[in-house]
Amino acid sequence: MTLLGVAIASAIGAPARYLVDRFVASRNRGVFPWGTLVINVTGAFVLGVLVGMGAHHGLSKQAVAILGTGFCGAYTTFSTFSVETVRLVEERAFGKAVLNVGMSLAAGLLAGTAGLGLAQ
Amino acid sequence: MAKSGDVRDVRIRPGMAVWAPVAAGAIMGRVSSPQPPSDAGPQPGPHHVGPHHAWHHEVPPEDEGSSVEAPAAPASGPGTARVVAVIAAGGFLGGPTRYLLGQAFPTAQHTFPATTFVINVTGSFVLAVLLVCVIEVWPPTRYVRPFSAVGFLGAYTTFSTWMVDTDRFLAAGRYGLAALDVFGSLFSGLAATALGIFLARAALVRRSPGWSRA
Repeated sequence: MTLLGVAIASAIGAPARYLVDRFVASRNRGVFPWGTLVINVTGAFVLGVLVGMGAHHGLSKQAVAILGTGFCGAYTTFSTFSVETVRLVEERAFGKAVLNVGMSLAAGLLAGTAGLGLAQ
Repeated sequence: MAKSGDVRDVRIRPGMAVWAPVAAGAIMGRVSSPQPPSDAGPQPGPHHVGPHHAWHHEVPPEDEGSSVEAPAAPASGPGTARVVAVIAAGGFLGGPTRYLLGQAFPTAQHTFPATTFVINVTGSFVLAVLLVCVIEVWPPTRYVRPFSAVGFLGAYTTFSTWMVDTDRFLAAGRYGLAALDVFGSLFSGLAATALGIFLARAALVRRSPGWSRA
């Protein structure tokens, strides 16, 4: 049952990423991948909250798996982050590539910590 | 068609202005956007329909019959609904694949999250190969990229677990492990992506204009 829950949550998370990415991209004409950045940072925050609630507030393992591994895992993406960064390098937008990596990691780690801390 | 050659030439010219391919992609997108891909037929092939444009968004506007570059284009419609459904189907398979791998190869707390690492690195490699095929090799399709790239591989790989795992290492004072997780995954993922693009192009992209100069 957990597996089915993870599948359904993933089937919601992946399209959510697509729609958020389109929404953000429609407001930014440049090459910088703001959409994926926003998605990954918000997803890290939500997963932090869920993991924190699992550790400190008795949120069930099943719920953490479905909402965390399923939804947040499918909503956020590592592969698109990597491809977009390599594309920036390929187009010699080195500053933007470094900025994308730096902002994704710094904001992603901060968001995850904030989520974990909020749920403590 | 003549312009498409120009786009590639502009991209591979060393020392070019960073915005040049973007502008070219936007122009190509505007030129080709009124053409639904199914009706495009042999005219603008995948090699020619603004490859930069296609690389820059999760699903290129050509695949939906609308242009992301044009803010006036509505963000919804029957085409979008079908694309969303196809992405959901890919996610329905990709998320559980990652979950099952995590169940099959669990990693103990405060040890290197090898399963997530392998998932993210393999997913990046496969996405790179797939995008070269979809954008530069295969004829235009409407649903291949949404299903496999955005849906399956997007759900298969994960950014949030990578971040929260690292946060927990930091909170536990395991700074070496945190650094290994962050930089190991980052550079392995980028290397796998670059390798995937390079190998796929070397193996598959032969007739593309300008390739010999790349």
